Amino acid sequence: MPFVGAAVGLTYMGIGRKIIARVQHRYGPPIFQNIVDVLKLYSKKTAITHGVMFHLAPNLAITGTISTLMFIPILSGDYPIRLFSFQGDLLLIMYIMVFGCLAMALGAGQSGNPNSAIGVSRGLTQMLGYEIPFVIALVILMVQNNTTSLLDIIAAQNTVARWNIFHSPFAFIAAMFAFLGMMGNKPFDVPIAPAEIASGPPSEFGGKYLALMQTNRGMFAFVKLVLYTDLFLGGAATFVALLVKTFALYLVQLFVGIVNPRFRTEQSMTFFWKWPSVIGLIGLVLVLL
Amino acid sequence: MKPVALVLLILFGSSILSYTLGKVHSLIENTIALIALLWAGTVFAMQYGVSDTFSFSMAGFDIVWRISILSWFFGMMAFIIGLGVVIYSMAFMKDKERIGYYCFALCITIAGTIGIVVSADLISFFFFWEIMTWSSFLMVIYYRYEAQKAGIKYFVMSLIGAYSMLLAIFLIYSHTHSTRFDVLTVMWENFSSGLQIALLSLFFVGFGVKAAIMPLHTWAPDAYRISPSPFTAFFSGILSKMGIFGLILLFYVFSAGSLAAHFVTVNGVALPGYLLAWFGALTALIATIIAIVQDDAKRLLAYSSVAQLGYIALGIGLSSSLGLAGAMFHAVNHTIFKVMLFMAVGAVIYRTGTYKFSELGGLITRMPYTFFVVLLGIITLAGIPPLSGFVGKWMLYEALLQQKMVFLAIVTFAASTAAFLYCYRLIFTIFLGQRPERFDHIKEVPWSMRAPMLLLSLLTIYLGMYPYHLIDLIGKVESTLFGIVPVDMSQSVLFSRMGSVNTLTVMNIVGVVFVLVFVLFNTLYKRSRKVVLKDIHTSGEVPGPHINLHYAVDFYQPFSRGVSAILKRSADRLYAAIGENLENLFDLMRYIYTGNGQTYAMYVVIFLALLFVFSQWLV
Repeated sequence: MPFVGAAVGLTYMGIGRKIIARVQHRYGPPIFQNIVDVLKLYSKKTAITHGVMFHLAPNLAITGTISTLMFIPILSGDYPIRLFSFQGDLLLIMYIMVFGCLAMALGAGQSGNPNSAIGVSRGLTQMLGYEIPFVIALVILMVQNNTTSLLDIIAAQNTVARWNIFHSPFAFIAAMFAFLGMMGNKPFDVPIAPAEIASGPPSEFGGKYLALMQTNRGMFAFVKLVLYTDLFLGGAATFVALLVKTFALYLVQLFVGIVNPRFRTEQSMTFFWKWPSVIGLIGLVLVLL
Repeated sequence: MKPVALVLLILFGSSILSYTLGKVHSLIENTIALIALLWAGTVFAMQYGVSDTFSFSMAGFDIVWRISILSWFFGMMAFIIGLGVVIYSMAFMKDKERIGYYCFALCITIAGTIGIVVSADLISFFFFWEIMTWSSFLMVIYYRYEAQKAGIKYFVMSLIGAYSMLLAIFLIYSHTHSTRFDVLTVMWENFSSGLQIALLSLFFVGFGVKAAIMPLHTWAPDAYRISPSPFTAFFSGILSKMGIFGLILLFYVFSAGSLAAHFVTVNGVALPGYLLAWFGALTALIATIIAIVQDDAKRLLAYSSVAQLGYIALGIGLSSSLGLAGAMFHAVNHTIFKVMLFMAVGAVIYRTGTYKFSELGGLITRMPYTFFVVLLGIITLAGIPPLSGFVGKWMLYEALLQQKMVFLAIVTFAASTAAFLYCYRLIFTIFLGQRPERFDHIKEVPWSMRAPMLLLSLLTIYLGMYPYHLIDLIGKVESTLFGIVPVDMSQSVLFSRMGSVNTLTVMNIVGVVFVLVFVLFNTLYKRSRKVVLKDIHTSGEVPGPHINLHYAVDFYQPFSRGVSAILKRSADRLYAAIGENLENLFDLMRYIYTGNGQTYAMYVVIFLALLFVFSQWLV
């Protein structure tokens, strides 16, 4: 499953690059360029390291992502792929998602590059922003269904009308704003801002380390997309449905990204505390009533 | 002799003995302290589930000491941490001045703490509480002149707490004519609502000062920063828990769940508990935000400690089985990881002599063990699985969601996310990044400092895998003392009405995946080439030896810009302003007490004249 996730995530990114290029009247790279890049990086023989934490970071990051994936039900139809999701709930997913990010931040820290540290500082600041609407949305879903189990939340969305995107639209809107921040695409690409801080945290990583980091990036994108599909789009019965739904979600944040410039760091944090959170809180009050 | 009296006798006796004999050789002090702690600890530990009582009468008051399972729970924490701190201090305080004074104050603080947990009447409770406060005050002012301001602040705040507690005790005595806990528990129901409100708020101030609940927290950052590092660990780990112990007594022993009958309930929780929960949640959020912008490792940890105690207070306020279990689990967690972190920061101070973030950096290769301890400490603090920090937070969140306290849940989540920021700052600016040249040759700390930290780190891993063992104990405390059904739990699976988590599975998945990835990654590739710290991508420029490449000053500048509205306000400044205004008010007195002898002579003359006139008039 992790390999499928990585492949899907990287392909989406390839398609995304193509779409961005077409919007900007360029031809763009081939769709599978990202996968080819990662494979090339894997075949590199030499790499330099800055220390133990730097060496461990990509390993730990990918560990965190795979562990998260293990607690998210992928398919929920007649042939379900639930992995270990019956052993943990949404609260676990929320916290274990951070595991990989923390590891990556530590690795970037040991690289000794000031740009990496600035990137991490920005990333964490932005995270504090988008976690608020995300949490509000999750609390709405958890209180509404009176469960913290992701499987139960999927089971409750048995018909299209009961999908949370229609059933609790406020939660969906708040969560979608958080999703933009989580994916780190254009208005919210503050942590990696290539033009300002030379792509930030991963700037010292090369060769096999970068290969792992890129795999992790693709896989993590897939994890987030599947999580959102499970939460708001009723899960997926077949693999095709999963691809359609996740790709639709991917496109939303891509299109927002194409037409928007980058926020300043504190704006990218405080933005989330304004309308997205207010919308979420309205939804929360409605659920409680 | 009764074990409970024996324990107190050993502890108090040994502290005086070690002070007097310590004049001979400083090694004797430590040995006596260690032996006494081990001996008393063993005696204490054997009283598990026995409920040993010792009572006598003094000046008409019943003095009762009892080792109940709740006291056992907190007392064992104090013993274990106290032992660790004494071992740690042996190396830390070596060749420092006034070791006798230090050792005496430390021993007597531990003794006072044990005294508090075993007291079963208000008089001895207050007595031991004061002993603890006084001896910890001695510790705060250890570095004499620079500690003056922090010492006064701690003293004044503690006095406010102590007086309000004393007032509450008088009130109780005037109504019940007894100071025993068990009498109070029975009589509480008959108190009028007004009296209950008065008692609750007075006790809240008394315990809240020690637990540093906002807005009573202002002493904590200064006192934690200035006291010697090993003691800071004890301060944050155990002394602040005494405030929590007091709150548990107040909400579950004194009032014994009869609050709901007298007060309005919100979401199924009596109003006092609900307010306490909000105090806790807001403390957690605001203290975390302040912690993020500190440029001082110990102040950062101090604010973090305030914030974590906020979570615990929140759990106590929830008044549900799961909430209280979460609070107690988090209390143990907080004790473990905060002691680890304060000890680790103490180790850094021991070697480098500074706790300013802007002066440190890149110590990971120099102090790898300390780095490892801090790493595990912040993972536990942030509540990231698979370590034990997650379990406590999970129980608190589940309790909040079960009781539909959604706004509290959101505030708590926000505080917990914000904690990642200061966690990263702590570990990055001290251990990662570029190392200043003057720290190129420092060594790791001695083993007697390493050992307590490492043992505690193992404990967090263990509790992360098998939280059952601790939750079982908490369940026993809850059922024997409070009559609340203990939290549902089997082996490694945590249950609540809303969801479940299998901690062992989490640990296994993370472990197996990591080992797989690591083995694959390291067998498929040859060893990487190691480069020096300054060999980084700098757009072709070669950084010279004195170029500072460590990003440590103003680490979260955008963040502090974003929350400047919150940072502008400060309870400390508010108190200072109140104090200043009062000073101006009392300045009026100077018109009467001018300090001039002639004025006083005139007062005497006027008084005599008045006396003369009145005596004439009266007769």
